[in-house]
Amino acid sequence: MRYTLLIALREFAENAKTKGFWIGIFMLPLIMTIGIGVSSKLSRAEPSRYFVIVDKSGAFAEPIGHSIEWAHQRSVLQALGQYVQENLRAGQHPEVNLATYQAAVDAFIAAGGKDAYLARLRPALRENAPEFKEPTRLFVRAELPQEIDAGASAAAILAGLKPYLLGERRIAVGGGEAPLFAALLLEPDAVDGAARWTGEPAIQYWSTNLSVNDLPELINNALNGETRRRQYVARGVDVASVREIEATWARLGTFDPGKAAGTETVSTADRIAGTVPMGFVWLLWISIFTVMQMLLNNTIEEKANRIAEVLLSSVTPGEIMMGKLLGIAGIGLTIVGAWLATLFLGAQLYQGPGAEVIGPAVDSVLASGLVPMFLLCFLLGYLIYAGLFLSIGALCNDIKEAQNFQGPMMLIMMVPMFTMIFINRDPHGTLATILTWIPLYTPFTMMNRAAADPPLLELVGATLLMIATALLLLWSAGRIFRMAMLRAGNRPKFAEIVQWVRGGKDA
Amino acid sequence: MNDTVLELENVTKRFGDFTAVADVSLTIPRGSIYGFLGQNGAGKTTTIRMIFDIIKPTSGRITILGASSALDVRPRIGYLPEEKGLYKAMTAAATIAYFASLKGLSRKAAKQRAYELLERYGLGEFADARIQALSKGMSQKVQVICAIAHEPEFVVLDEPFSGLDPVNQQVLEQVIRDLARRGSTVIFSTHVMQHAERLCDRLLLIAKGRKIFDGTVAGAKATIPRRVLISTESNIDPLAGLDGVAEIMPLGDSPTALGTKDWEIRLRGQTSAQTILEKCFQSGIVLRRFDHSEPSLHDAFVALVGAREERA
Repeated sequence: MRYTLLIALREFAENAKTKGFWIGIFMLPLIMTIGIGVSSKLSRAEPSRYFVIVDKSGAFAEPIGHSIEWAHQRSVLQALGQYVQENLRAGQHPEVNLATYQAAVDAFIAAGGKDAYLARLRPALRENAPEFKEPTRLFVRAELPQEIDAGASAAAILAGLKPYLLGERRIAVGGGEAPLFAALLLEPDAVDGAARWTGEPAIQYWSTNLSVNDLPELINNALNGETRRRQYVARGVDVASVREIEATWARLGTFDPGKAAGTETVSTADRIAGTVPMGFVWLLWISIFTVMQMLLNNTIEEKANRIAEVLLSSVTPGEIMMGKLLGIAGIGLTIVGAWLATLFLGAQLYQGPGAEVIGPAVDSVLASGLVPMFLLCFLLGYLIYAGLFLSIGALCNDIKEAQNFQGPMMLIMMVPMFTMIFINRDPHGTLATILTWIPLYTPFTMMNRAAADPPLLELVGATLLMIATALLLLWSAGRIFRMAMLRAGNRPKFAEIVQWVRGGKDA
Repeated sequence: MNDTVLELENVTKRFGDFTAVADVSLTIPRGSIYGFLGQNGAGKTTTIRMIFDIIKPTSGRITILGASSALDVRPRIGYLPEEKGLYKAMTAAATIAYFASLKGLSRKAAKQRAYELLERYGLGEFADARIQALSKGMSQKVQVICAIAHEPEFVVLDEPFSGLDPVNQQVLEQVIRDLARRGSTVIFSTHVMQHAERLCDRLLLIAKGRKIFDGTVAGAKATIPRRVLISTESNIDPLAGLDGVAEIMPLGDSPTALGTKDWEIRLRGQTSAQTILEKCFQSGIVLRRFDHSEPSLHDAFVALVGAREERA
C-alpha cells in the first residue's frame, strides 16, 4: 500500500503542477463569470434596429407602434427592478410593483413610466445610487426614404427598399444614418386579408436577418390583436370586456406527491432543481473527460519515455495502476470539488436577477441527495473509463497513436450529451431505461434520472452494474497494462489483447 | 550471510514459438562484478527482466538474495534498464528521491540522498533543473544515481555505458568500482569488451538465448587456443610438420600490399612460440611479423560466439 500511495502522491503532485489542472479548476468559474458578464454586457450593448412600415390599409401601424412601445416599457421595468435590487438601502422595500407580468407593465405605463416610479422609489434607494440608465430601444420605426413613393405598388416600394435592406444604402434616422433592419408592407386589403392563408400574403415582412425573431413576433402579436379587435367590433362584442376577460388567468397548482406532506407544492426553485441533474451530467462528462486525458497522457509518458521498466523493477503493475488511479482520482475530485464549491458559493453570493429563486433552488439541490449521487457516479464512471483509457495508454506507443483510439471513444462518450435533455424530460422512459443498463452510459443516465426518484431496483441494479463493470475493466486493464507497458513497436493485434486478458499468453 | 546473491536454475523464456532464453543456469557470488556479454537479441535483457520479476520465466527457478521474487527484496536491489527514461517534467533531485522512496527510503532521507549524490557525481548545480533541461549524458547519470541511491546490495546495470562520452564512461566505471568496494554485487551488460575486461571478475556470455561461457575473464581468454600470428612471403609448409602445431589457417585470401600473407598458427598443449620462431629461422622463412600477444576478450567473444554458431 505504501508504494501505491507513493505513486498516487507523485501523480497528484505532478498533475497539480500542470497548466491543465489549473485550467480545469478555473474553467467553470471562468465560463460562468464570462458567460453571465458577457451576456449581460451584450444585452445592454445591443444596438437599436430600424424598420419601416408602409401601411396602405391604415389599420395596423398604430397597434404595431403600441406593441413595440409596450415591449420596450417592459424591458425598462425589468431594468428598473434590477437597478432597485442593486441600490436598495438595507431594510427598505420598493413601494411599487417591479414584476414584469402584463398587468404590472400596464400599471407601470399608466402610472407614467420610469420617471414616476423612480420618484416613488428614490427614498428607499441608497444616497450614492447611480443614475438609472434606460435600456436602448431595440426596435425603432424609421421614415420611408424620400425617394420612395408610399403610394406606389408593393413591388415598386420593395424595389426601392432593397438596397437599404441589403445594406447597400443606409436610412436617415434622427440626423444620422443607420442600416435598415426590416420593412413591413401592408396592402390596402390587409385587414380583410390578414387571416388569408392562400395566394400572396397581404402583409409582408422583409429582412435579411432571420435570427432575430423579436420584431416579427411583436408585429404578429399586434396584427392578431388588431384583427381580432376589429372582428369583435364587427360582431358587436364589447371589446373592453373581452380584453378584461383575456387578462384572466386560471390558477393551476402543481404538486409533487414525492415531497413531504404539507410541502408538496412545486415552486420555481423546485423546477430549477429538477433541471439541475442535467447540469450535473454536464459536470460529470467534462470532469471524467478531463481526468481521462491526464490519465492517458501520463500512461503514455511512462511507456514512451521508457519509465515503465524501472518502475516495474520497484513496484508491481497492480501497484502502479492503483497508484495512478488514486492520484488522478484525487486530481479529478479536487477539480470537481472546486467546481461544486464555486457553483454553490456563487449561487449563495449571487445578487442579480432571479437571486430570490436561485438560493432556495440551491438549498433544494443540497437537500435532494444529488451531490452524493454525483460523487458516486463520478467515482464509478471514473473507474469504468479509467479501465478503458489505461488500456489505451498502455497499448499506444505515443500520443498520436492514442488519438486514433480517442476518436471512437469521443463518439461513444458523446451519447450522454446528445440524450441528456430527452432523459431529463422522460426520466423513466424507454431511452432512459435502455441507457441505464449500458455500463458506459450508466453513470450519466443515473445522474440524470436521480431527481426523478428512479425505482429502487434500478438504482441498486445500476450501482451494482457500475461496480461490476469497473472491476471487470480494471482487472482487464491490469493484465493489458502488465503485458503492454514493456512492449514497443507494432501495436498488438486484437486477438493478442484478448489472449492477454484471458491470461493465455505471457509477455 | 548467504554468499550467493543470484541463482538461476534452468531458466527458459519463450514468447510464443520463439525461445529468448534457453535453459540458463547461473550463480553469482556476493561482492563480484559480473559482466553479461552477448550480441543484440542474445537474451541479456530478457534474462535481466526475469531476474527482476518484470516478466516470468516459462520454466526454471530464480532466487535473488534468498527470495523467489525480486519484489520481495526490492529495497536491497537496484536496476538501470537498457531503455532509459525519466519523467521529463520532474527535477533531477525529485526524480532520484522518488525512485529511492519506492525502494524503501523515507521521503526525507531520499531527498537528502538525492542532493548528496548529485553533488558527488558533478550534477549539484542541476539538482533542481527539470530532466527535460538536462543533456542526454546528464539524464543518464541521473538514472544511474536513481538505481543506486538507496545503496542496494545488488545492482543490475543494463548497457550502462551506451550514450555516454568517454569522460562520463570513466565516471561510471568509478561508480561501479565504488559499489563493489562497498560490498555490493554488480551485474552489467555491455557490448564494449574493454569495460568488461577492465571491470569484471566474472563473465556470462550468452548467444541466441543460451549460455556459452560462465567464468573469469582469464578463463574466457583461455578458451581460445594458443596461437602465433605471422606475416611472410615465404612457403610455410615446414611449420606444418612440427609436433606442437595443431593447425595453420590463412588470414584473408589475398596477399597484403607488401606481397606477404598472414597466417594463424594454432599451438598444441604447452608448445612454446619460441619453437615456431626457431623453425622459421631454420627453414629460411622470412618473417615480416611475428605476434604472440595474449588474445583480447574481444577475440574470446568472437571466437566463442563463432564456435557456437558453427555448432548450431
